[in-house]
Amino acid sequence: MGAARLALLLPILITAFIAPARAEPDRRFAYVYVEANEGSSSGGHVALRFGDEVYHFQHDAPGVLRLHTDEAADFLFRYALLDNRGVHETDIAAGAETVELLRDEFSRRALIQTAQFDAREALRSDAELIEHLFSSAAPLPLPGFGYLSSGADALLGAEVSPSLASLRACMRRSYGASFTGARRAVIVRELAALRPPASGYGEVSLRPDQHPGFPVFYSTRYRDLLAAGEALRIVETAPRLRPGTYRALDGDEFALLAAEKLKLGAFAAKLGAELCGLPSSPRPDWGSALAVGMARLAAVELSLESARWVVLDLHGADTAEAQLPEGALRAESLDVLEAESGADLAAARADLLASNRLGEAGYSAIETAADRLLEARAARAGKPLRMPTRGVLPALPATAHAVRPDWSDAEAETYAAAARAAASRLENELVHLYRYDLIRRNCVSEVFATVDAALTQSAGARADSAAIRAESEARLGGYVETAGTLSFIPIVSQQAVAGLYRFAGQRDHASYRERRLARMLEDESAWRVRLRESNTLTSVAYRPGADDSSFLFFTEDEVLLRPLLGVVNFAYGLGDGIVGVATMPFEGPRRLVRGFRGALFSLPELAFINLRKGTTSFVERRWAADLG
Amino acid sequence: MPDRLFIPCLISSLLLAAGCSSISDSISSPFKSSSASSRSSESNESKFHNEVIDYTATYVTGQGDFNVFMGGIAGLAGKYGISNWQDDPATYVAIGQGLRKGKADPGQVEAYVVNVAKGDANKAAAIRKGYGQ
Repeated sequence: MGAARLALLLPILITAFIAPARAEPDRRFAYVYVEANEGSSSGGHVALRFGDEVYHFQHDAPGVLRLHTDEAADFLFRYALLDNRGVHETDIAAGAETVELLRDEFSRRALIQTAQFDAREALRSDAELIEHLFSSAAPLPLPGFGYLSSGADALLGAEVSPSLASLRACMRRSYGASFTGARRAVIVRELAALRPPASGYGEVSLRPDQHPGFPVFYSTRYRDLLAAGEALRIVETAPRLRPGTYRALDGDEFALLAAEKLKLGAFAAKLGAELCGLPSSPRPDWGSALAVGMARLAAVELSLESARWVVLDLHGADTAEAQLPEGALRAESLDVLEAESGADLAAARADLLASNRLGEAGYSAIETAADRLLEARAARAGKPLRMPTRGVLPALPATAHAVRPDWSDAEAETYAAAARAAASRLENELVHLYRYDLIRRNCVSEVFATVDAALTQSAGARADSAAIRAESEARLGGYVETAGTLSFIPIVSQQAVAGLYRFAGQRDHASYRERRLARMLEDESAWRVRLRESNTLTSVAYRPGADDSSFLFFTEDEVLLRPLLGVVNFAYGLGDGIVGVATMPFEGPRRLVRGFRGALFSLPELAFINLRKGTTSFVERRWAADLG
Repeated sequence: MPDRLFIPCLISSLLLAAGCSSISDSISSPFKSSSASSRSSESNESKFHNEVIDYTATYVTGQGDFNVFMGGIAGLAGKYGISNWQDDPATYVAIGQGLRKGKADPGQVEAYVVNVAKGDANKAAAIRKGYGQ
C-alpha cells in the first residue's frame, strides 16, 4: 500500500475505530419523507420518528411553523392513505443517549410552543370576557354542563337522580349540610373581586427552549370559578340527564352483559367517591371535572336501569362536520365507518371485561366508539356527521349567569385594552420566533434547527457552528446543512440524510392508490387495470377527496407520456374552471377553484414532474395493516 | 417542449415542491387509524403518564404557576377522556418522574409537593417516589 493511499485511508480508519466509541449504534430513529401531492403540502413533507411518536412542523396561521406531535400510526394513515402519498422512512443508527437527546428536545419544544400559543388565546379570551362582562348581561357558556343544566335561568330537572343524590349526601356529610350554598356564595364574591394578575399583561420575551412562566389568566380563573359555582348548583338539585343529551344504543348486541353491569356498578361507586372529594381538591378547574363526572355518573345510572349501553352526546357547540363523499361513495363510506366504529366498541367492551378495573380512560373508549357509531347511523338518515373538536371529553355546553366584577367601567376598559395589547405583543413575538418562510424556515429547516439545538446541549451552550457540526458527525455520522443548499426541499433533504447520516435502512410505505392497484393486479389482467385506473372517470380506486382539483389523467406512473397527459389535464382543469365562472352564482366558487387549481397543478406535468396524485375521501383500516 | 414553456413549468414545479404541510383537511376526516381504538385502557393511561413526565420536565424549567401546571395536566388527561386525574396515584408518581427528568432541585420538588399534593400524604409520597427520594 502506497503512502498516498495510506494517507487517504487514515481518516477513515480513525473514524471507524475511534470516533464512534460514544455513538454506538444501538438504537434508531427515522427521517420521514412524505411525497408531494396537491393540497396543503404540495412539496411533500418531512418528520422525525422516535418509536411510535412523530414530530413535524406544519405551516399554520398566522404564518408560523408549529411543531406537532402525532402517533406514528395516525401520521402514516393520514399521509399514506387519506392523502395518498408514498411515505419513506430512512432509519438512522445512533446511540440510545443520542436518540433520547433528540426526542426530548422535540418533545420539549412542542410543549413550550403549545404553552406560548395557548397564552395568546388566553389573553384574547381575557379581553373578550372583560368586554362581555361590562357590555352584556348575557350568560356565559360552560362546556360539559349541558347534560344536567339547560341554561342559566332554567330550573333543573324535577326528577332526582339517585346517583347524584348520593353524591349530594356525600358532600353534605363531608363538608356540612349547607356546604353547596355557602361555597356558591363565596364563589360569587370571588368572581366579583377577581382581577387580572398584575404580571399577566406586561412585556413578554419568549424563547423556543424555555417554558413561559405565565400566571393564571383572568378568563381561565373566572371560568373555573363560574364552573365551580354552577357545578354546585347542579349538586343541590341532583337532576337526571336532560332528554336529548344522551343516546341509547339500539339492538340486542348493546344490551348490558351481567359482567358489564358489575363493572359499571363498581365504576359508578368509584367515580362517585372521587367526585365527592373534588371540591376540596387543589386543582383550580374542579368545577368542570365535577360537571363532566356527574354527567357520566348519570349516564351509567341510565345504562344500569335500562340494562343497555347509554352514552352522552359528546358534541359541543363548536363541533366539526366531517366532509363525506357524495353519491354512492357516501353510503359506502358510512358502511365502513359504522363497521369500524362497531368493532372499536366491541374491542372497548372486551377491554372492560378483561381489565381488573374500569377507569375513566376505559369508559371514555366505550363512550367515544359508541358516539362514532351513532353518528354514522345518524348520517345515514341525512344528518351531518359530527366530530368532536376538543378531544374526547363530553362537551355539550349550558350557560351560566356571569358575575359582574366590582371594578369601575374605566378600570374594565383599561384591563381589556391591556389584554388586547398583550395578546398583540405576544402574537408579534410568536411570528418573530416561528415565522414561516418557504425557503429559509420551512418544515425541513426547522427539523434540522431543532436537531442542532439538541446537539448544542451536549456540545455546550457556547458551541459554535463548527462544534455543532462535529457533534453531529460524532453522534449521527454526518451533518445536514440547509442554509445555502437545496436541502430545504423535502425530497432533497431525504437524500441528504440518507447520504450523510449513519444510514441503517429504509422502509417505504406505498400510497393508498398504489396499494389498491397492486391488489387489483393480482386478480385482473394488467392492461385492463392500467386502462381503467388511468383516469378519474373510470377509476375504481379513486375516491376523490373533497378538495381535489379537476384533472383527468393520473400521471405518476406515466413518465414519457406525462407532458402530453399534462396538456390534457391542463385543458380539462381550465375548462372546468371556466364552467365554474358561469356556475358560480348557483353553486358557489368551488368548481371554479377546483378547475383553476387543476390547471395549475398540471403545469409541472408539462416539465415531466408529477406532484398531483389525488387524495382519498375514505379508507378502510385493512389497508393500513402493514403501516407502523 | 419549447424552453419558454418548459422553464416556467419547471419553476412552478420547484416552487410548489418547496411547500410544507399545513393543517390538512384530512384531519377533519372521521376515518382514523386503529391505533387509539385498539389500545387497552391500561395502555392509554400509561401514555397519559408518559406525557405527564415530559410535561412536568418541561414545565419545571419555567418557574410557572402551580395552578397553570395543574390546568396543563387536566388538558393532557382530557385527551384520554380522563377528567378526574387528581385521584390517580400514578399521576403523582409521573409528576415526580418528570421533576427528576427536568433536573429539579430538592427545593423545587418540595414546592410541587406542597402545591400539588396540598397536604395529602399519599400524593406527596407518590411525587417523592417518582422523583426517587
